[in-house]
Amino acid sequence: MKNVPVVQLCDVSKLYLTDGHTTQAVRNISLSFYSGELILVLGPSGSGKTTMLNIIAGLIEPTAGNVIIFEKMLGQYSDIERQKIRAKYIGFIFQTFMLIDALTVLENILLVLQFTGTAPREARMRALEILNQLNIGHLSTRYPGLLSQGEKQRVAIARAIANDGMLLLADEPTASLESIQGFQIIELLHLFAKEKNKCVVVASHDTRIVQFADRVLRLTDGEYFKEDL
Amino acid sequence: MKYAFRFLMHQPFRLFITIGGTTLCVVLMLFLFSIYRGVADGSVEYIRKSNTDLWVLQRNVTNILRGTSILSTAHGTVLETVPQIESVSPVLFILSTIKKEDMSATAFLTGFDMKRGIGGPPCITKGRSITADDEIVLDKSFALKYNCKLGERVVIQDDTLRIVGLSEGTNAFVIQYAFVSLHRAHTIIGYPGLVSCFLIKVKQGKSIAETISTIREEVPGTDVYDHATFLQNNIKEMESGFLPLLYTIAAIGGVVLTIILTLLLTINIIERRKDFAAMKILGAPHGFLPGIITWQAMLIIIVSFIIALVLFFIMVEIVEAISPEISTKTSLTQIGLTFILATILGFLSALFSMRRLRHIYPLEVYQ
Repeated sequence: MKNVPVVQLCDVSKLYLTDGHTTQAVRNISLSFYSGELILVLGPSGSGKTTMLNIIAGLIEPTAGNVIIFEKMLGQYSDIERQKIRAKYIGFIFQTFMLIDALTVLENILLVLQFTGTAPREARMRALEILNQLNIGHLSTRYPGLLSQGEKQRVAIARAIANDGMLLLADEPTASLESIQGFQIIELLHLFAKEKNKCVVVASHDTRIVQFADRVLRLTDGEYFKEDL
Repeated sequence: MKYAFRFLMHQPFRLFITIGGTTLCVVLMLFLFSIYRGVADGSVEYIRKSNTDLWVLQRNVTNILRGTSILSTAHGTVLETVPQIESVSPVLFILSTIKKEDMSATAFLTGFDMKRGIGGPPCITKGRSITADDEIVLDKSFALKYNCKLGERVVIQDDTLRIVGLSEGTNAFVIQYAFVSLHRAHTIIGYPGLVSCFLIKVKQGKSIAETISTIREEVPGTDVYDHATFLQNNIKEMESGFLPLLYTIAAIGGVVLTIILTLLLTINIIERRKDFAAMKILGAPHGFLPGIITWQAMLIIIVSFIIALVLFFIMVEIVEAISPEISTKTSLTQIGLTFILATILGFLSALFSMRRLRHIYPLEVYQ
């Protein structure tokens, strides 16, 4: 099952320079992420989890080391290619959901499908299908402002998986949710990784969700140690 | 376009204020352009429809709008001897006060040769032209403003004249024409031997250029213009005095429109910067976000323009009812050009606002 990695980090480091001080956000990390697994990147705030997700997504450049995504070095992709990769092959889930409040639930999903170049009719059908799969089809015409936190996160997941990408990056997906809702969301992501054979990377400080992960990568001050389950 | 519309509709009050502001700016532009057209036509319509080949004026006078030409009737006698000339029609222009009961107003009194009719009112809309010395034709808007009706009498100096007709195309915005016989004009001015200019008809088949050259030789102290040149001189004179003012006000309207629109679009971008940052992360194509801003600008311009058009026609009716001397003229071309201008300003506003988009970084979603 573990054949070609979706993403590979090779001795990746990231330094931030702020007000004359350098901060090492990520230190010499080498990792491979495969399809069909849910990887939990665990660590406290400021441990470099989000930085790592952003490096994987190609949103920030590592200070040292290489990132290989979809079998090609990240540095070899142009800005436009990176944008296309994010649109077509990567799904994002944010802690604060980042749903667009001026658009309905359905339109939030149609928006990302438009970025992939999906035809409007097909996009609509796919968006409704995903919403129904996540049992939130009845919310399609509602605005995000009127939804509960749990519903919002489900919509965020629907948006993240709409492009049927190989990689799903979730930053603190349970942080804004109550325990039960949080478990449901992680279960959903786990199911997505297994059933759809996708690579799901979850960055979190929530140790309660460890049980759902195939692999747990503990991160402290930018360094990690691996803990296989 | 759908997303642009949704983002705009999310702040309905702000959208309402912006559309209100841009609408008023468009109304201002439409109104100024139509005033310009109305004044431009009204000021030179008399000349345009004068049915003459040549204009003879005192030397160094190029127009009748802002020039004073004084010639002797004796010049006319000499002109009549020029072989190429078919007819010579003297005209005398005087700025004179017309009174009626309590009303007292200044008009551009035009004395002309009743028999030939040349130099008289270009278009009678009501009644007829003068046929006797005690008759007068007033400009339509002048009559409306001062409530002068056909058959009523007005007083100029000690003479009482009966209104027999109302003319159109004789409203020069700041002053309106009134037509009396040349004899009556001479009586009013008190110098029977004076005229302002001569309107010349050239015999059929005779060369205009040759006639001009003959007049220059035979009648010293005068300047001669063919009809087209004289019309152009007057248009130029009118535009140089009036246009800069209108263009300045219209330009201010345009600048205000651009500022209002830029302000709204920029505020929208700043308020939605996290949404835009998220869209960048989610893989929005390069032209997508600028497209939203451009569509927002275009939607506001289109809606504002439609409302402005309705308001403009209502406003024209009201203004012309209150101040008949303000004559406006609107054409489809004019409306089309104003729309193009507003669209260009909308694009500019979008362009100015788009600079903000470049400063939105995807990672702002984590802030």
